[in-house]
Amino acid sequence: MSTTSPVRPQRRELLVSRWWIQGGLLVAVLGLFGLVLMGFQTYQHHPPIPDRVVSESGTTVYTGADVTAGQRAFLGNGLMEYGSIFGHGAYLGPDFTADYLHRSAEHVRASYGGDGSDSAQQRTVEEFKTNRYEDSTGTLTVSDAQAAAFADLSAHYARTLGDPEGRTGLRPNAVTDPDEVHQLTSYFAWSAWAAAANRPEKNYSYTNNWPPEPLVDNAPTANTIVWSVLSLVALLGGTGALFAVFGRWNWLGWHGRDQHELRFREPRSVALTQSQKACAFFFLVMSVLFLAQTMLGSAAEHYRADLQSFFGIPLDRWLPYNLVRTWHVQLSLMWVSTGFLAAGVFLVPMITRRRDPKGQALLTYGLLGALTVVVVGSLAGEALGIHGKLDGLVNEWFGMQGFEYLDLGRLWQVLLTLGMVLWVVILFRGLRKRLASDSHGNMPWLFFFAALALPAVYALGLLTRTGDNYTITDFWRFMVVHLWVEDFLELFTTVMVAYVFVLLGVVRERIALTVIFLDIVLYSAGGVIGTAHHWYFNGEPASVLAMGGFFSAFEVIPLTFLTIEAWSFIRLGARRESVSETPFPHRWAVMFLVAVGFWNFLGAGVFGFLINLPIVSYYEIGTALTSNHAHTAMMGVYGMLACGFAVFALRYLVPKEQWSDRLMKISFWSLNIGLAWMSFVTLLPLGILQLYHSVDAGYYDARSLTFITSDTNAMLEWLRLPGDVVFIAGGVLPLVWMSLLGALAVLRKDTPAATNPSHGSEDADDPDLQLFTEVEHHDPDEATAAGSLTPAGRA
Amino acid sequence: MAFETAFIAGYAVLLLLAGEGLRRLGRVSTDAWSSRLFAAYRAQAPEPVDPAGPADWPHSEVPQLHTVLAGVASSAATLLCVAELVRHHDRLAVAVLAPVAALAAVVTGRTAVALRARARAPQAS
Repeated sequence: MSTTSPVRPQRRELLVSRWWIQGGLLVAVLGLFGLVLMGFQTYQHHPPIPDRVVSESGTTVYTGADVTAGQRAFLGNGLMEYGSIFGHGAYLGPDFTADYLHRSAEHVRASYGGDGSDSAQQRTVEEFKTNRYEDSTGTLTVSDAQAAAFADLSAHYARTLGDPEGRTGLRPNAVTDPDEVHQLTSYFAWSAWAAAANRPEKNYSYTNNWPPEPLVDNAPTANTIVWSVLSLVALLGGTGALFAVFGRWNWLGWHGRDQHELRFREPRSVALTQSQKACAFFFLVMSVLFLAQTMLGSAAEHYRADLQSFFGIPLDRWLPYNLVRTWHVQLSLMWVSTGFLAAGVFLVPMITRRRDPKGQALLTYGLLGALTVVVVGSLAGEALGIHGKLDGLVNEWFGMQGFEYLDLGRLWQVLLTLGMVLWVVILFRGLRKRLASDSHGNMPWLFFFAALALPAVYALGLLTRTGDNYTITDFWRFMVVHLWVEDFLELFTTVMVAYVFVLLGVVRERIALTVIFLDIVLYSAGGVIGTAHHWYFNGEPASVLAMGGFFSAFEVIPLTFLTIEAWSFIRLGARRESVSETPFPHRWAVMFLVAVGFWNFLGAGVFGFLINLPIVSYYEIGTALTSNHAHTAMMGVYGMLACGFAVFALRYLVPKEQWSDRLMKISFWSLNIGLAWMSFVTLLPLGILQLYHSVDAGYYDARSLTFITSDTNAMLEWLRLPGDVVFIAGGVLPLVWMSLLGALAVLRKDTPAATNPSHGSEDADDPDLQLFTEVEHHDPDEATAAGSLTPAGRA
Repeated sequence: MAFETAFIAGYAVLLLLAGEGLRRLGRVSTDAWSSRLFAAYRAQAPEPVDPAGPADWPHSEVPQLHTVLAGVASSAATLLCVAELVRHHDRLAVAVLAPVAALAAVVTGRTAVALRARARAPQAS
């Protein structure tokens, strides 16, 4: 009796050497090992929160429970979106660590004789630097003068945070509960203690002597200086070595093969699946959120230019600074993510050249609904939280969790993670048949793996708990802010951009694959361990500063390298375009990618490295130079990419007679000019001035409202106005309009549909859905390599 | 002279230098193959590709991005100097800021002319 075994589909061979997979995995594992090691150190060496803080005369000043409750009050009231703690947060209000440290040191020194007395200064330094925390009893002893300073500063924070007039950027009467004021003061006092008191058996504080504060003898440590020098060496040496190696060995295998002749399909002749059509609404949501984000950015900017009034309107009653900044920051992630999620869904049928599986469109609309619920729910929750309408756990879960970039309530955070899981399910359903027939190291799988990593890494952010020690919360927070945004989102976008070029027929799949593996190797080496460059001064030990300083320098290398590599993509594209008989339909989508290359180098590379050295960060953290890097990198790279993906997809969704290259041209130039103006006129000079002031007059002073609202700063802030108008009116509005046209076309059913029953199914190729380029093949050797592009490859 | 004035003048000069760099970048080929960085690679590649011509898209258009951003830099320098002149116009401030502002304005004007000429030129691709 014979048995039949099921016939397994033949998988396509791996297109690149197995060494790429093994090398990529090895480096990724090493990078993650470094990250885990730093996590271990975080839990071992964070500054302790004493059970009790007592004065020398025996009175209890504050307790550990007060510190924890103070952190919750700080986050729940949106104060991390007003000022900062340990240098992390927003830049309008003070850094509360530096603020408390400076004010209390002044108070203590005054009580011992004031600034004219050397002994008063010496005694102040001794009191702040000596670590009188007893681990066995959990008790920290402070001097009577320090205890008196605490009482004074409680009154100070009650006045400033609960000001009935507002005009500080916070809503009037923002924090008035005396218990909450006491808890907040306790939190600030604890952070200032950690910033000044020496670590056991070390001659520097828990924060590597940050902030710079002469009153307590806080100055850069040897580690801060030495690792800055080594970081520079790593950058220069690493860049040189990479180019040398790249030049010596023909890794990427770019060769002159121009035998393909392409005919780009007219976009309206490419049939769209129902799930692709659903993407039109994603892009509409994306562009509307983008518009809202820029308007809120303008409002936040106005607070810096004129804190007193919004053209006579008391804006701070309804939209205080910390609320508009919360929304601005959250929306920056949300609109960009919406664009990326949609681009992923949109690409799947083009990758598989198969129709949607059953229910795919329904799931896609479900995802859109879920996304809308999360966006609306989280923004509303944040408003209620900042306005004091929600308290305690309710606020944390439904309102304002309050960590910068993780401001949304935990419920929304969980839902967003689940939404991304649903998105991966949608992608998997679409890709399933294709994945079954392809090697695990080829592009469809890499596309899927890169997508799968997004919810997985974002979920790590759920380990950020408001009641944990700040150093631990920051470790997990940066799993989202850095690892998710700067590494895994970057990887996913690299895969998507590479795939778009492959699908357009301008780059061969093997080359794209090599570039993606190279990206994995470079980012795993620099980006993953480089996450630590955010943790120089937040209570992590010096070893984390060393690893962050050294490895984050390597982050700039792939930025430089991939920018050049991106040029090569475009260059290859240009050659294809020049031989095509039909016009290239994605002129402005590609131009957005050109802009990504420019801003990747300037915004992420140059402006990022400008603030990356530990010694620069020591004086700079939490100033306008960070904002300069954030805007030029986040908008310049991810924003432009999201716009590029949207323009790419809208080209298929918007009817030919309604499509306007001219509007896209205006949008492209306006976004780039507006962004450059924002940086060149305001953020960069302001940041340089603030850095200078921080080194010259002190960090506390450079973060004070007196400095931020000075005439010089106000002039620079106001001069930003023309650029912002160009950015919003010329850059964002055309995108909104074009997205609206795309959505209306879908509503009117005015989009080409894949309805020909004789053409394919979920199990077979559908020529209407297939390529948007046609390839005539002349080189038989190309058949395997080009795979999906060639007639032979369709078999 | 006020620190602010000296800073703005210095920063404006820095912007002009950066703008000049971008303008020069806007004149060189954006074909990676013509980069010196790829010299060793070219020596290894058995089938080097033909360099892309300046008329090939997007190489015909990419330099425009650099030139426009150079224009933004010089316009920013002009405006910053003029705004600073409004705030501080003692003799020394005028002596320092006016020439920088004038130079920045001339550079901006020349950039605008170059961009207009480029826009009027027939599309190469």
